[in-house]
Amino acid sequence: MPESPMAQAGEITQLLAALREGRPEAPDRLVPLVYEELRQIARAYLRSERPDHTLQPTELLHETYCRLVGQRDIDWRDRTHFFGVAAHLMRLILVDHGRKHRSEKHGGGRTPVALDKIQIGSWDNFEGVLAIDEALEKLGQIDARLVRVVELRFFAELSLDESAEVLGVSRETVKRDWNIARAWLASALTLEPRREP
Amino acid sequence: MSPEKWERVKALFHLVEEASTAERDRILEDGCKGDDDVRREVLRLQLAAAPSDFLEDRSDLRLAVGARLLDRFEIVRLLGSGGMGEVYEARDWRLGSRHIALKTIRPDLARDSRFVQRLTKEVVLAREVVHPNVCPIYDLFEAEEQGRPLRFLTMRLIRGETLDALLRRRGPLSAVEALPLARQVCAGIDAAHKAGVIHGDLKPSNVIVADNDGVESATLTDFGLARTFEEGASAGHSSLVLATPAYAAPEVLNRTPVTTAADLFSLGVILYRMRMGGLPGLGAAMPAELGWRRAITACLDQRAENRPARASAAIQTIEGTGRRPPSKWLWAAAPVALLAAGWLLPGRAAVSRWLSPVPKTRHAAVLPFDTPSRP
Repeated sequence: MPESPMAQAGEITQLLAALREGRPEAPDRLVPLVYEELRQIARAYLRSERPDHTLQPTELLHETYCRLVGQRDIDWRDRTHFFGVAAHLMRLILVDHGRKHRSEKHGGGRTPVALDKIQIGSWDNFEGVLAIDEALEKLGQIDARLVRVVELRFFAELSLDESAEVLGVSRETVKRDWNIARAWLASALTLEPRREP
Repeated sequence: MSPEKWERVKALFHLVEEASTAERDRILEDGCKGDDDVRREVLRLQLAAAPSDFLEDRSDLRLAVGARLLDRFEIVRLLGSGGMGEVYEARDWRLGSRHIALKTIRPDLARDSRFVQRLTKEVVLAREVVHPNVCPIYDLFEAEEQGRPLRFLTMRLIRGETLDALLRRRGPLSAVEALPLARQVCAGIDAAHKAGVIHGDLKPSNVIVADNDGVESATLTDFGLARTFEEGASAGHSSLVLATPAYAAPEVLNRTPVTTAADLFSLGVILYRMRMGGLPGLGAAMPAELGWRRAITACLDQRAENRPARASAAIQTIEGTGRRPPSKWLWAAAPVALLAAGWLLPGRAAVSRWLSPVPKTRHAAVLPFDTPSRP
């Protein structure tokens, strides 16, 4: 069991500082701390299925961050790096949720995915999220960095500037990577045979 | 593909993207240095990237929670985003901090004065539609946010889920579950049409279903807006149909003048989806009930003039209280057997007629046309 949130707050702040300085061990130690908290908060969000409320990862991540670090001093760079670590976790959680939804509501069957419906923030489009995830698996075999960019932009909804901060590259580089990743995903999803209803 | 080749693909893709259309071919030829794998891959990515606003980056334009517009509207949360812009929940501090829906208009459209004129006209018209099943539009505003001009609409906030979300959650509805919702959707459509307002992009995500102690109410949103947006987007050099193809009548996709009948076609697709879960397609199953089948088939007729004139007629057909379509049915001396067997002879013919316009690939979401603008 993790320690109490208050005791963790100090450790997490330190780990975030280490992350910002680029110390390699920081993400590995941060991930388990973040994952448990994020999963709990996500579960509460997703369980309630508030119909009037589009699930927003940024909101979820923000809440997790506040809970772990405490509200006192939110440094946007710390927060951004935190989001960077949590982006992959966010992907796991949303995909997991999508899979559950698929098996519960549709008896395991798939419904078709319209490409134009997959957009940042369309989290109730479970099939879309799952399709992106599957395509990312394939993209990962070619270019892991592009996957990282998609996780930051799509699953954590970070802006170009924030993603650049996390990756330690220029905004221009992120933009290029993002463009090519989008193109790659679009072509991968289109090539996939689509089942007509 | 080897990592080296992939790096070359990425670099070349970027160069080609940045280049003007005239230079693209030359840059691609020079850049691939005779390597067919590289050329093919860059071309493939370009084709995938070019036409779509897939995963389009709008986050940098989003309004922050807590942002205040015109010293009056405070952004509470993002409710959703679509082709026109984003929809937020906001508080109107001038009217007792009442919660409203605030819809932003894409900046490229908001800059176009002809578009704004049309939108204004349409809003004036849409405000005349006062009906419990149509979401009222309040007003159109112009503000400045972070140095950028921003136009937005305010409308009633309806707490509920879209019909699209509901159908994804619950799956197909039974006839008994679907009828009250269908009736309300139809009442809303007829009320707007009576006021001379055409929707142009009716679909389940434009229908909000609210649950009031077990009684579901359906409200149509964006009446009059979708059409304006579509015209606005197509006024430029390369025109795109913004309407959602699966729900759009053939005349919408063909860009011939659109009448209220286009909304009736979309109604047919909505009715079908309510009952069957998916979209109508070749050989797709139909609802078991005769009334539903007839209503859906009539709405989906490819010829606009053959569709029911009013949405309420579709409801009467569903309930079996409407008059039967004349001649066609009187011809058959014993139509009962045919009807019971589904949609055998007349049905099949009708089906293939209305199936052809429904695009089968998702690429159909974006259809470029040469026509500069609509008359």
